[in-house]
Order: sequence, then C-alpha cells, then structure tokens
Amino acid sequence: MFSSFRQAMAWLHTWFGLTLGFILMVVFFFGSLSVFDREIDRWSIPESRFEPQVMPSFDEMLLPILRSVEPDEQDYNTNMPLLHDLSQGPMTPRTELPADEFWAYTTHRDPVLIMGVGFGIPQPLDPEGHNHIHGDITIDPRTGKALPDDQLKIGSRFFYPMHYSLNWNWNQIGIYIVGIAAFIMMAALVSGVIIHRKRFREFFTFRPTKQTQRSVLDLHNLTGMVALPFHFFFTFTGLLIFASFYFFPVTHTQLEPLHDYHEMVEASETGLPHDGAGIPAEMASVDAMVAKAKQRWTEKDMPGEVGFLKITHVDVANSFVSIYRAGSDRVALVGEGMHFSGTTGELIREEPPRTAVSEINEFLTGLHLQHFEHWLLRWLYVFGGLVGAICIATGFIFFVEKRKRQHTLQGSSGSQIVDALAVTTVTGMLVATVSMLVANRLLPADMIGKGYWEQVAFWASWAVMLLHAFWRSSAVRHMRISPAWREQSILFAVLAVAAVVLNWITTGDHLLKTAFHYWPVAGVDLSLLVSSAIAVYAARYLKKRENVAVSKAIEFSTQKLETSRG
Amino acid sequence: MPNFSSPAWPMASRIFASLVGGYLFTWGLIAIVIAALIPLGVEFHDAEMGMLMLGLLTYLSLFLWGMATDKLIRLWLILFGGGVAMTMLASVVQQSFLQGI
Repeated sequence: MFSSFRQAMAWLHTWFGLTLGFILMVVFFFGSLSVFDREIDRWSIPESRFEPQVMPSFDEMLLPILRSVEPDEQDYNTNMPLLHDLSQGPMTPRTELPADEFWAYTTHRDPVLIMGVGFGIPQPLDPEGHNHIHGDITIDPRTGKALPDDQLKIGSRFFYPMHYSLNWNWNQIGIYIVGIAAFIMMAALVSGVIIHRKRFREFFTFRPTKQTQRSVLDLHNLTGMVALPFHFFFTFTGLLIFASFYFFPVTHTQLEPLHDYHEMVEASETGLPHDGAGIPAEMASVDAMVAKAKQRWTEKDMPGEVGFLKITHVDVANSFVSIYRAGSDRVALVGEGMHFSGTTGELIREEPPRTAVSEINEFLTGLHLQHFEHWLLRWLYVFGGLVGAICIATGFIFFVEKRKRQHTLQGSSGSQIVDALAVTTVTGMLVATVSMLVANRLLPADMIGKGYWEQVAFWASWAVMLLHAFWRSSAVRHMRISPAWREQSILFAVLAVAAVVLNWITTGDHLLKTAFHYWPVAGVDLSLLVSSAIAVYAARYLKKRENVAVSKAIEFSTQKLETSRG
Repeated sequence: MPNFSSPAWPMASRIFASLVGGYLFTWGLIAIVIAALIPLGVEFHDAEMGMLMLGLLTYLSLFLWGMATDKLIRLWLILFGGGVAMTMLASVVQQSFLQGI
C-alpha cells in the first residue's frame, strides 16, 4: 500500500494533520491566551482591577458568605433529577439542600476570590457517587461583596475552557474531540520528523523570498522543529492531565473494584472519613487551623500562603478541613496539604513526601498548568503556543499551495475549501476573539445576561468570518490568493484598536496610566496594539503577494488556454 | 454492498485498526499491568499514573506502526486479539486478588 515507512508517515501527517489541524489551531491559540487568562479577566471586569489579595479570614468573612450561598438553579434543574432517588420520596426543594462541602480558591494572579458550596443530596440514587449540586460565588476579598453572576470571566471561564473543551459541553464531547486532536498532534510531530529526517538541515532553513510554497514549507519545518520539545511536552502533558478521566479511565470502569478497595485502605490509613457521620456538630475556628498550617510550612522551610481550602462533611461530627499551600513558587503542583478535624481543630494528617512516580506526574502536569510566578517563562509559553499555531497554519497554506494548480486543472474545489477553512481558523478566530472584547466594552455592565451576549458576539462574528472566507475563496480556483486573508486582517486590526480605545473610554484606564500602575490591563492593551500592528503589516504584505499572484494567474490561464487549443 | 476491492477499503481498515485497535490494546496493557502490580505491593496511584504515562506513548507507537505496516491481518490480530486477551486477563487477576484478601 505504502512503498516505504516514510511514505506512510507522509500520508498520515498530511491527512490527519489536515482534518484535525483546525481543532489544533483553536487549542494552540486559546492555550496561549490562557497563560494570561486572569489578566484578561481583569480587563473584562473593570470592578476587579485591583491587586491580588491573600486568603481573607475564613471565620469572619468567608463562612457567613458561604452560608448564604444557594444551589445553582441550572445545576439543580439538570442534575437533581439524575442524582435523586424518586423511590425514597420527592426531590428536596432546591433551597433546602444541606451544605456538604465548602471551598475557596485563589492564586497569586487573582484579586477576586472564587469559592463555592457543594450541596448534598439527602436521598441519592447512588450513595457512592459524587452527589453534589453546586453553588459558586466570586467575591471581592477586601470587602466580601459579591461580584454579579452575569459578568463572564472571559479569560478563565471562556478562553481557557475553549482551549481544552471548545466550550462544547454536551456530554463533554468537546474534551473528547480535543483529546483525539492532541493525540494526532503527537503523531503529526513524530511523523513530521520522520518525513524530513534525511534532510535535517532543512529544519533550520528559511527562504522567505522564494515562491510561497517553498517559504511556507520552510516556515512549517522551522516552527515545528525549533519548538519541537515544547510542542511535544505540552501535547503529552495536556493528554496526561485528562488521561485518567477521559483517555484511559481504566481505574474508574474496569478496575473500579480495585480502586474502591484502595480508597478504603487509604481512608483507614489517613483517618480522613470517606462518608459523613450524620451527627450535627459545631465547627471549630478555621483561622486557627490556617495559622497552624502556615507555621508547619515555615518549619519545613517553605513558608507560604493558603491557595486552596476545603471543608468536607460540613456541620457534622467527622467533618475535616483541608488546607493547601499556594504553589506559585514552584513548577510541580504540590499543595503540602494539611488536614484538620473540623470540630476539634486537631491535625489529623499531614501529607507524606511524594513517591517518585507522583513527583514526575506532578511536575509534568504542573509544567502544563503553569500556576507558577515567573513572567519570563509565562511569556515563553505564549510564544511557544503561537509558534505552534504558525506551524499548523503554514501546514494548511502549504497544502493549498502545493495542490491548487492541480485542483484547478481537475476542476476540484479541494484546495479552495481548505483555504477558506484556514482563513476561518486563523484570521476569523482572531476577529471573533477581539469582537468578544469589543462587545464586552460596549454592552452595559449591569445588563442582564451580559456574559451570554458576549458569547453570542464571539460565535456570531466567527460564523460571519466563515461565510466571508467561503465567499471570497473563489480566487484560489483562479490560482490567486484569497482576499479574505487580507480583509480579515484589516478587520482584526481595526477591532483590536477599537477594544483598546473602548477600554479607555469606558473605564478611564489608558495605557499611560496602566503601564505604571496596573500591568494586567496594560499587558492586554499592549498585546492588542502589537497584534493590530502585525495584522496591518500582514495585510500590506498580502496585497503585494496578491498582485504577484494575479500576474502569475494570468500566465497560467493563457497556458491553459493554449494547451486546450493545441 | 460496499466495494471491498476499492483502494479506499484497506485504508479505512488500517485507520480503524490503528486507532480503535491501538486503543483497545493500550487499554488492555494498562489494565493488566495495574492489576498485576497492586498484588505485588506497588502503591495504587503510582501504578495508575505510571501506566497512563507509558500507555499514551504505547498508543502513539502502535498507531504509527499500524499506519505503516504491510500486514493488515497481523495488525488486526495483534491489536484486537491482544487487547481483548489482556483486558479479560486483567479482570480475572483483579477478581482473584480481591477475593484473596
């Protein structure tokens, strides 16, 4: 079938890369944005533009707020009928569900504090399952005031989930699609190296002045190769994060009995009760436990602040409080967790040193999730991700450039379709992203369902870009460059500047001010301006190339005419 | 009736065997190794995480091999046969271990 191993790898690289490349483009681009998701949150919610805070007093501030949280209506309506056992009686009304779990989470980049309550289900269908209806809340930790629910955290709640789930949550199908795409990415990297292994030098050659097909392939090889370790590690660790849940859930399905047995052993070893006791009891001071945990970290020569705090089996006799350290000073996601009895405040368990395997795993996943505080490294991640995006985009363009002559002669529209989809996933995606930011600044802050309309702006503008790309793609059939590339670049450039100006008008935060006082917002504004400048440059360059292509296309059609006559 | 002599057919068979068969084989491998390591005293999450890391790389290698190999029938036999055999064996090992406690 294939005459050689290399030929097989070339086939795999071309066709799998083409079909899943469009997904990978989204994953790489929004992954790059996710590095600064919290900063984009600050930009999109002006009320939250203040300095990051440490975890405030639990007893005085957080507990009263947590007590007032209600179960989320949508979560209740969707999940309660699935989790509740009707044979034991009617469903407990939403507002009467008992709180079972409290949690609060903050990072070194979060001025706002997110926290939530897991409400128990009194008559569950499966007593062993995860029986929680959730209620989440975001507060200003300086005052305890809640931020309105309608305000979407565009960075951490839209761009970041876009990166791993395409925001397609129906049966978590988005996560599966991204999982398959990531697997193919690994295969594409390996096969890409194999295809070119004989001409290794080519990996580092770039001839921008040669014809488009040649220089595009150079750029494809160069970006793929220069950042190869980055691409491979990120793809691999990304898969690893989800591996036990979605890729190979062996221990949650076939080997579940073994897993349950282990949990039982573990619960008896750790003294942390798996089930609540059902006997009501008063809660001890959590602040005192926090103080003890901090003291213990200092003794271990790693003083730090609390990053995550969780109370399990709230208000019953065997409740326990888990306190984890904010790990922003290291790569591995280690919490140095301390667990206290919720009623007496005594230390029940301190997490033992990790084993080698779990150290490797925590290092790898920590490398991907990058909670650490290291701005240079964070920016390298952004560039690594964007280099990956260039690698994928040039793959599409190479596909089109290599085949468009042949397709035109055969009357096939293959390269025309690929080109239109490439426009949609490259410039169209940029337009959609920045449209969302513009919508965020144009829609009034107190508008009901603001977050929903921001998402509408995102998807609708992307859909319009898709239509525009197809409408303009007929140029490819005539051996020219689709003008959609240039037009969408210009549209993006205009919108990006508009977003920066609108931010200034609606909040009064302009660059001269934020650059000295508030880098999260200045960084977003500056990135928008730089991207806009690059887009303008790209549009001008494309115009030149289009003109060259037009003269070539005329040559081509005269040739074609001559051959058909002769 | 599908046209089995069309050139698209072996390619579809190859892709299916490499993706699905490769997955099944990897699943079986992960299951049997975890099931075998626990009775030997390896910590559960160590066995799990270690095998997930190895499993992803194994799946990748199997997929690449499947896309390139000449012998389609052997590919099907090894991936599906091996996958089913290891998966079943894993259940047997797990059951005998849990009964023996």
